[in-house]
Amino acid sequence: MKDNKLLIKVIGVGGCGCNTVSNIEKQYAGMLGDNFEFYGVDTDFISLANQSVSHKVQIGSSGIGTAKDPMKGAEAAQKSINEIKSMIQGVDIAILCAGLSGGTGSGATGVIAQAAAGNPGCVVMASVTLPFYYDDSKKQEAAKVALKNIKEVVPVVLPVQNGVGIEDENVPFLDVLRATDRNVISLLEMIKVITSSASTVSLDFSEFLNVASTPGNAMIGIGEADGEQAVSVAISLARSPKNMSYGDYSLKDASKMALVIMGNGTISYKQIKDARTTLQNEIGYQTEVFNGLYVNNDLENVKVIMFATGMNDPKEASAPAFQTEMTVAGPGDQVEMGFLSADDGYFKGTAPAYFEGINYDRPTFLRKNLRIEQ
Amino acid sequence: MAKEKIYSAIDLGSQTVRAAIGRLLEDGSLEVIGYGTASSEGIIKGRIEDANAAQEAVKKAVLAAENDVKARLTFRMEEVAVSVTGQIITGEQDVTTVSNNSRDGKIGEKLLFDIDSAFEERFTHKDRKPIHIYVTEYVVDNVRETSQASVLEMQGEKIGAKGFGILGDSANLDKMAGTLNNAGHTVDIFCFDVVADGYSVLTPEQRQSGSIIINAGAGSTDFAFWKNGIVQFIGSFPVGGDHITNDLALGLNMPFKAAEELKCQYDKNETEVRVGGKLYKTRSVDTIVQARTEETVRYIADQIKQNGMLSQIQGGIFLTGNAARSSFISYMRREFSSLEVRNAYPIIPAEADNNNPEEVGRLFSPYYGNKFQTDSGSSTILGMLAYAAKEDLHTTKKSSSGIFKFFNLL
Repeated sequence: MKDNKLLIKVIGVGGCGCNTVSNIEKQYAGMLGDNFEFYGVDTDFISLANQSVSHKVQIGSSGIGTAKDPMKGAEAAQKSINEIKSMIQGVDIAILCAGLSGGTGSGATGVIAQAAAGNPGCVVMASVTLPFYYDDSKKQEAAKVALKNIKEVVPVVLPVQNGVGIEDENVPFLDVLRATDRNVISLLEMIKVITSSASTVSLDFSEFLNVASTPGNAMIGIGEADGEQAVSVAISLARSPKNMSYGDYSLKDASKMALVIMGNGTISYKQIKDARTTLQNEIGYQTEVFNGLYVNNDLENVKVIMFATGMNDPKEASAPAFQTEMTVAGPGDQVEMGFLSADDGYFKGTAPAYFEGINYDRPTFLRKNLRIEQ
Repeated sequence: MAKEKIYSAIDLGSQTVRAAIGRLLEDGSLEVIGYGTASSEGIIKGRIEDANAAQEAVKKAVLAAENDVKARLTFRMEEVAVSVTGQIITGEQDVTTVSNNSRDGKIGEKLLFDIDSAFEERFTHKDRKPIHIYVTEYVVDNVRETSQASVLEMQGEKIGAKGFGILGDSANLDKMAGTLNNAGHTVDIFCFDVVADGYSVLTPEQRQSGSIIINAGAGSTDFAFWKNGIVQFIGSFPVGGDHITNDLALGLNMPFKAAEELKCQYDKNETEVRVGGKLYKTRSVDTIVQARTEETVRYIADQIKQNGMLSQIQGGIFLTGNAARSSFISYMRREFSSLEVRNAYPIIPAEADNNNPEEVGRLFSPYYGNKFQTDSGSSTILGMLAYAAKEDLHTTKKSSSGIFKFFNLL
């Protein structure tokens, strides 16, 4: 925090990340105010020079990019670690934006995140863009590896796949690329609202930081609606695949959620109650939800921003279910059902049906810890 | 059509192996004249796990089909079309450009064949090979077209194309070919199950207007998005009916075969169900079954929504295989309340439908009554016969043009 002023730095890493940050700064900097600063970090000097972002940091010594090699990206960041440390000095929240199809974003993001985490009290988040589903397997694999590496050093990661949620495929290609910026825009808008608006129902900044510091995958969505069911509809829209950054995990797995509801003074208790009850029933009561209601009579519609964190990767989530014993109700009394090996049953000896990190040969009821009466 | 031709197909299902024989008549209709089934052995999750057992199951199904041949014909199945499912299949997109060197500057068939060949090369990898290739879009001087007919005769120096390939894992395909070879057959073509389904359960209009086919087999749940007459997207979730049975066997501590019986027998309206002299709580069975079904539907629904297909589905969502006879449809209807979601069965009248005479492989059969119209599981084997006839026609066309192979089905 500089001069007791909250400082949020949005840092684009690599060509894709710099594009995102340049666009966001151009469109939203005025609305966000001076707590927000925008940086572009790249190995490619010419590419960086062409960016409109206010602050630019060229890393590495060659100035000619990494030829899509993440190792070169990481090495360049290490070489320029002093410039990076200077960039992130005094920052309260660092939001890193990167595409994982090349070398700089994939390799340098982790190094910058580590440097930012060295600031006491600094919250580090990363919004990363994965390749299109039609991209070649080499690119997909490289992105997976980069994502894994980033997750090791960045506590909160918002992954979003290029092209996901595009319903009308006839939109210009550039619009599809820009669609992935919405994660960052939503996040910044949420921070702006929490830090500068008077809340009717409190969601203070420390609660937001509590959510934002919960390690794991994160999802963010935004929805806007009007009418009698505006709150419910806006929440539904916020969590729809079109508007929310979907990964390989479910909102049901979130451990924490910040929910910001903005609207005019006509929002009723019933609207809030119905919407919250539906949401909690759908995601389960294990998710701790911090919500804030921000009343502004100039608003015609209800707008909702939903930020969920703490979602493990599917593989991590499935493991504990198999290591714990399961209680099964028997006829008349309860019996203990022991550990079931993944190799048990009909599929014994066959190649396990691993898919997106989960062995789907394992029964769903075991992975989800469902109680089975006998 | 030069003369009648006979086609054979084998559907290597994880639960049932099916064999069928069809006769292509001169008017382009395809008469199903032989059909046989056998319990599947040695095939689990769409892969051959025990080659000898699988070979025996194939022999039984083939023998049944050959003995069943109608129309006073005697026929032995040699060259066959074979189905593939599940995790050994992947979809891939790519783009290519080809220069037009024709003297008059017009785009001719040769150039389109060159595009097919370029995609064949692009989709051939060290460990995967293409089994279906579709050109989904052509771009000529910034004009986008979706069919070959639209770009033929257009003027342009360069033609760009977007292709969609359905690729099979080479090692598994080779293993299937080897097993069939040992059973006395040569694999002519492989066919992804939901591609075959498209030719048996969808009308040409439904293939054109945007339809999803979901085939829940014993080992996996596959789906394909059909639009403009071709497959534009596919997916596969590695869970099928055998997973539900296995879950029941493990969860309720019972043998696999008894669990299969339990799965088929249980009725939600009863509180208990008796199998093998033992009573099981319907609620427990339902919890296990619904958990699997919901998980599977959710994956497929997310794929459809996230990949931009939702707004393009004009034809509907069609369920075949086990999906057509389980609670799968209720979940799907919940996910897609604004769309038509229904069970689909082979369209195979007793007499050939001549409303679309240009459509080669129009299935019909005077011999089987309503047998196929109520058996969703036969959609793949019948669709493969139609696919084999179409593929053969185009291969012939391409060969006669001096080019080896032609992929794009109209």
